[in-house]
Amino acid sequence: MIEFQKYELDNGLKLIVHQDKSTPIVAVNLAFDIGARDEDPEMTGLAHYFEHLMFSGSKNAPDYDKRLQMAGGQNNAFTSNDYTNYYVTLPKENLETALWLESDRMFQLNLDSKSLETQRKVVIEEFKQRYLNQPYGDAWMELRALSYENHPYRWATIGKEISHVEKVTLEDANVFYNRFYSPNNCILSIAGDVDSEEIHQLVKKWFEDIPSSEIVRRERKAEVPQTKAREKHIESKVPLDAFYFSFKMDKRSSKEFYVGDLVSDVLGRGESSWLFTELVVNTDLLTEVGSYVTGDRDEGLFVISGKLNEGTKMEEVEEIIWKNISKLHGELVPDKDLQKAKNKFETAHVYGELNVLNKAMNLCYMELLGDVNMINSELDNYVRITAENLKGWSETHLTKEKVCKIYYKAIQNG
Amino acid sequence: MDRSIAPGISDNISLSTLPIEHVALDNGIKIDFVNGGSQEILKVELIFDAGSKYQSKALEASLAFDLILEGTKRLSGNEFTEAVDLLGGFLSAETTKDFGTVTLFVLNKYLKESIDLVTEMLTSPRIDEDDFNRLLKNSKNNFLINQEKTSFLSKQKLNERLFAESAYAGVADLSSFNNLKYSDITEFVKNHIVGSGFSTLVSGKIRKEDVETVSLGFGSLSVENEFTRIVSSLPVSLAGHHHIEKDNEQCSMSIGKIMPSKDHPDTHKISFVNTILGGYFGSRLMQNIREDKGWTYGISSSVFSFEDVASLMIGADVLKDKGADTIAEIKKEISLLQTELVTEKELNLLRNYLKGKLLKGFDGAFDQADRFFTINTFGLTWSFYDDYIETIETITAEEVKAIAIKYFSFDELVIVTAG
Repeated sequence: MIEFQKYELDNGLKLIVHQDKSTPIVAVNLAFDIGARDEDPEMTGLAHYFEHLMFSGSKNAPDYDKRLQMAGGQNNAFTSNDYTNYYVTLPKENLETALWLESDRMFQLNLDSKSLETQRKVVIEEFKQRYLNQPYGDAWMELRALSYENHPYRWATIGKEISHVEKVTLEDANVFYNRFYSPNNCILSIAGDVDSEEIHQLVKKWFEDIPSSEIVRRERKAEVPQTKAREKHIESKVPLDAFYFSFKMDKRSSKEFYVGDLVSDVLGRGESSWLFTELVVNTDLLTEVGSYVTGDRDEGLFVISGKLNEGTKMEEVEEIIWKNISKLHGELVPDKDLQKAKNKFETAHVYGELNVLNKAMNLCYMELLGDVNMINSELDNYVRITAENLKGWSETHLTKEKVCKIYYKAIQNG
Repeated sequence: MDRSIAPGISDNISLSTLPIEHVALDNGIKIDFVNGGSQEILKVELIFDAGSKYQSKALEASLAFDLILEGTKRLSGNEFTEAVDLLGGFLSAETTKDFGTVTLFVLNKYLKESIDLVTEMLTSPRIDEDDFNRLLKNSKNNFLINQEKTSFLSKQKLNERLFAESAYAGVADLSSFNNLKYSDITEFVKNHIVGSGFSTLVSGKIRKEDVETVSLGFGSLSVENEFTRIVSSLPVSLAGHHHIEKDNEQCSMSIGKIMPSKDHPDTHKISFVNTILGGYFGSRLMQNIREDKGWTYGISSSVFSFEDVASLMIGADVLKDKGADTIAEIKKEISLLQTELVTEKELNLLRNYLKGKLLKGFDGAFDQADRFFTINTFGLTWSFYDDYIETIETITAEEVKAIAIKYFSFDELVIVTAG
């Protein structure tokens, strides 16, 4: 059970405070409701590129990092399809430095062409390092593009292509900043050995005078329900054939999400899962296999992926995958498998409550999903799931006409 | 609201360490309990002196520790994993150059059953030949995938050239997978895991009965093997530039040098100078290569400590045609450290940053267990960190320069690029 206090400032900034007396560290987390799903299809990757620009310094603190390091702080940020998240940890005595820095860059960021150009290069190198310079590095880009026809989840957070990042202008960046980086588009959480009312006053002091803005968001087109399987074959200089299959997954905030998540655990999480047992241990067809879900604010993906041992026929693998899916449709999952998945979740969940930064991030994320109280009902949402739920979910979600399949064919170098 | 006035900063930190209970069992196994935390979860680590320096062929240690998790005489690999999973446990093994470590995360309420399983695993592991063949093949497949990554290629070649002619040199190549035999693994398991002593580190919210559970469980093991520590000779590194040609999008570089081991009096100062050079986001290399030039997503420099030596390693993936220029910049930054005094401003920033980082490194029982592990294996005590804080607070610009000259000579660097 995580206890917290929630406040909202007049300018719309939401604040969540959690007290943990056991640590000398305080975590400050800011989640901005802006992600790749809000981008223009002709300028993808901007949300993530902009995250880099947020470290360009602000009017009163031209060097964000140095100021924070001077206060003994560490920080980083990430961007997803759904939101952009900034986090800081520092000794609790210096908490106010973090509030000063975060409020100043939310209010009056320094955007100039020098940092725009440097970070453009950095982001392009990140693009290459993560997606192009790795075997199978482009798999998720391909899978997204095949799985979504309309929804902006069809491109990756880094962007659809490097050329999109190449054409962003200072004007684009300024418009983006003014549109999305305002207090009414942000959730701030603070976790540590702190008093919530004192924090409330401190946050008011630093953030209250930042004006709110009107958030204009692009309309996101929903996917038309899929009625026919899709597939794409890719030849690539990879050492092993591989496959990535996707089905649509429920929104992270829905009750069905938890059911689908457990289905993925039973089917393909870990070495005692159904697929691993059959395809790796018993038949030696695959070198690895797994199934997992993306927790997204809009409809996400349920993915099964694996790599083939030399000489394995994909047809044979596919047959076994469908046989296991049919088993999910036709029979109730044994109690043991269900209990295993729930117990694993419980351990991971307790582990996640150990550290203040994790807790601060989760508080923000749950509020972003719609209700911070969800943080305390997560475990319960899993515990109450029955074998009948898994069967029902599998029957509607894991069907042959709703699959999208990416096949990698290994070709020799040269 | 006057935002131009920065809030005050406190640079006074004190580390508070959790109580550690030491238990020595009759069979010679030692257990350290690091007690703290409010959540009912434990981390149990079993540390064997069975890292790659104890192997006679490449891959032996890592395959042996993979295979030890694949069931017992009573339970097949699948049944064993299932039993651990059913307790919600996360059991894994990994090897370094010095150690093989088995790690278990488990909720307190399932500790007893989990320890029973681990004990069974250590007493009568299955070590099945089919499992061996499968894991070896998987490991080879992963190796083939890694061969396509320039960052992996450069790191591996650096390891080979940096640790040459020492017990730390054991780097696998494609032929290692054909040379390794099932009997090599059964021998390794017999000589270094089953019947061998190990040290145990338990951290988390530890109740009295948990101490008993772990002590009773591991106390039941019989330790028969004589242990002879291998002390590596000093590597004979191959300094200079080695390039691996690879058609790829970027140039990966791994650059290193042997450093004195952790118990050396200069160790804290070396760590401090390394931080200035490439050990944090504000470092000279990061500011120059990423923030000023935009040639890379990240460049970093680290010092890794092993039992008998330590190593400096600088790594980055840069623009394909900027490899040589990046190396020239690294040379320039090292030379600046050796010729110009660090400003008081930069020193102060480092002092505060490193103290905050250290404080975070002591946050909670699991983190403290990690810190304890890194000193305990060198026979050091918590005072190691008091000395570190003292170095952070008192090191002078002259000392930084002297350390840079003594330990960061560019000419002694082993440089590997791939791409």
